[in-house]
Amino acid sequence: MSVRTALAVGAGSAVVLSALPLVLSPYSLILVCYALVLSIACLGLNLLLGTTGLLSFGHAAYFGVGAYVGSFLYRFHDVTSLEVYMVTGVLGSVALAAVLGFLCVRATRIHFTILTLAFAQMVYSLFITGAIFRPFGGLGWALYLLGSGGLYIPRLTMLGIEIGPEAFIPVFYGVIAASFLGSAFLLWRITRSPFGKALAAIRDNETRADSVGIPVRRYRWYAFILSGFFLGLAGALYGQLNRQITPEQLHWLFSAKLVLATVLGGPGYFLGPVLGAFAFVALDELSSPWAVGRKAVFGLLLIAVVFVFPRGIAGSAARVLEKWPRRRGRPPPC
Amino acid sequence: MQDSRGRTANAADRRSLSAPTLLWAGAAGAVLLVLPLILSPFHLILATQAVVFAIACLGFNLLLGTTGLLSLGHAAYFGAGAYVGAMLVFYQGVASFEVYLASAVLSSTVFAAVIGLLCVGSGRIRFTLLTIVFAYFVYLIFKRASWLIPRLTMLGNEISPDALIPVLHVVAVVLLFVSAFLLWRITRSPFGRALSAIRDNETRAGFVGIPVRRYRWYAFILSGAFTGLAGGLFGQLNRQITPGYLEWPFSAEIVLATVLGGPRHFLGPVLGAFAVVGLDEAMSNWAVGRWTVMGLLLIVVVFAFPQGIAGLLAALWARTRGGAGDPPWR
Repeated sequence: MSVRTALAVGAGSAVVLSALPLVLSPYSLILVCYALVLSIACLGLNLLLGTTGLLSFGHAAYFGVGAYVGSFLYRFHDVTSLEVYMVTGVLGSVALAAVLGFLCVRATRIHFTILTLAFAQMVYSLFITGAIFRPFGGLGWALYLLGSGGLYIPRLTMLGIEIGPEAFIPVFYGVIAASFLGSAFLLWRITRSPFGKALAAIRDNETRADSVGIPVRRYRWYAFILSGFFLGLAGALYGQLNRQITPEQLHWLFSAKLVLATVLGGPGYFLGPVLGAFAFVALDELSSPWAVGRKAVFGLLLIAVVFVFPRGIAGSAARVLEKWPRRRGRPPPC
Repeated sequence: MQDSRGRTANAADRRSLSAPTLLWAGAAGAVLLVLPLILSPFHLILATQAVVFAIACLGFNLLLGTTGLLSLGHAAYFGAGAYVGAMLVFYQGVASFEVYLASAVLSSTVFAAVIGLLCVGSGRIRFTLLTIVFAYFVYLIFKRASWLIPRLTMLGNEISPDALIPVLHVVAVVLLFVSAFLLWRITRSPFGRALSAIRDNETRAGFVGIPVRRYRWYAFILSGAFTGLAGGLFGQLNRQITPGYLEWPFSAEIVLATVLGGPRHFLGPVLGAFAVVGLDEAMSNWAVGRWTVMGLLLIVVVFAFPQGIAGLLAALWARTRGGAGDPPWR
């Protein structure tokens, strides 16, 4: 994608995103919020999956921790500022990703995948067994018993201002949309930078990348940390949007969901994860009328989409665009 | 070692069983078969569980180690076999262990054939994801049911309560050896070689004329059949089947045991299965979650001996032999 098309797409989506609160019903706006949060997470995951070629089944850990750190601060230190909540959450995720990533990148392929899964399950078991609540004394243990490891998050203050229940979602939507655009911009720059090109070289041929002087392991580690950063951001936003965080968001099935959404969209395309995330939320919404077999319906829809778009939604979109008469021969815009 | 035509042969190329291998296998079989005489009933159950789990991991490794495909849904074939067998017992009044076990293997094979057909066309990552999603469907099918499985008759004989576990242990050991022999022959056959070629380079394998997708499918079906055999045995051993054996933690456990044992060594999965069952028992009194211990162990394995327990043993064996030669269990 040339810089001009990218700018056009970016500006276009910024305009659309800022117009949405005026057009959409509150319920649809919340759905868009979820889709945008999931988009940030999938974009971050795709820096590992699509760009570096590493399959992680443990990214739920960084997502969940991004929300948990801030909610612990609120619970035990009465911090009610959204800024502090977000910054600490992201820092927590980055720190965790730095430590676990350091170990994980020492392995490759299937070993890497299994290590990420095992580490994420370790983090999950810390929360589901309440081990992480124990250091907080009786109050911590009571909260664990009350919520089975889940924590409630109130409407936090933004820039010191309390926001009423009515205005909260539109205002917070602004925060989410800005975070989404910022993340997409950053990741776009990262994948186009010399560092990003080196990551792609590692993905395509590790041995060759190593012999031209790319520090493979270190760059993989950096990619892991960066990816943890975006997952933490998404997790923190999710916690505030959902108003609670539970160990379910740490479970590896949630990691699998992130990978699934990314693959659904097309990991080979920059905007693939975003399309995948929106499709994922839309499918979930489509399956909601079935009260009993909702999960089965959702799974069936998911499988249908996976088989209809063998190269991801973005891949199919790119093919359609290539066939567009006026654009024949030009590269796809995403 | 070179043969008459000057080709270098190593242990992995051997097609027939050599004398030392047979000797080792015989010794291992003898040890396993006398276990009912030495172990306490409780420990015998554990040993039988390990033997059954070893069959599942061996079958799973035909996909992971030989074909290079990571399935995170093998619990489905393990559990589905036992479930269908249990349904026959429950609704049709089947009382024969042979019929129960055959139906378990057959149904797992059918499940694996259908699901495998849908999965093998995809690349590695999509393959893994699809196995998860389909296994979840199998879980959804059976999740509301759990059945008790009575003591079934073997070859028409009623088994007394005291004799069940020893008899089942012997049956499981025999089936482990049969499965190991079959899988050993499969991995050494031209078909097995083709699977390894697919694992090492899919494009090249396709180029030299190997039907990649079809062979992957065959490997998937075979793998499902052995896992189903293990599931059926487990159902009778456990005397009940619950959705827990269809769920993802069990899939992950199969992967964990195989990786722990060493997927690139033929007997690695067996060692891994025994290690996991043993560790589980050793850890049962600890307060910390088993995932924490398993995770830490996995880190040690991946960093200290990435070839797993079997790789470690092979290295030790090579050292005692002056640095050369493959161990007979390769």
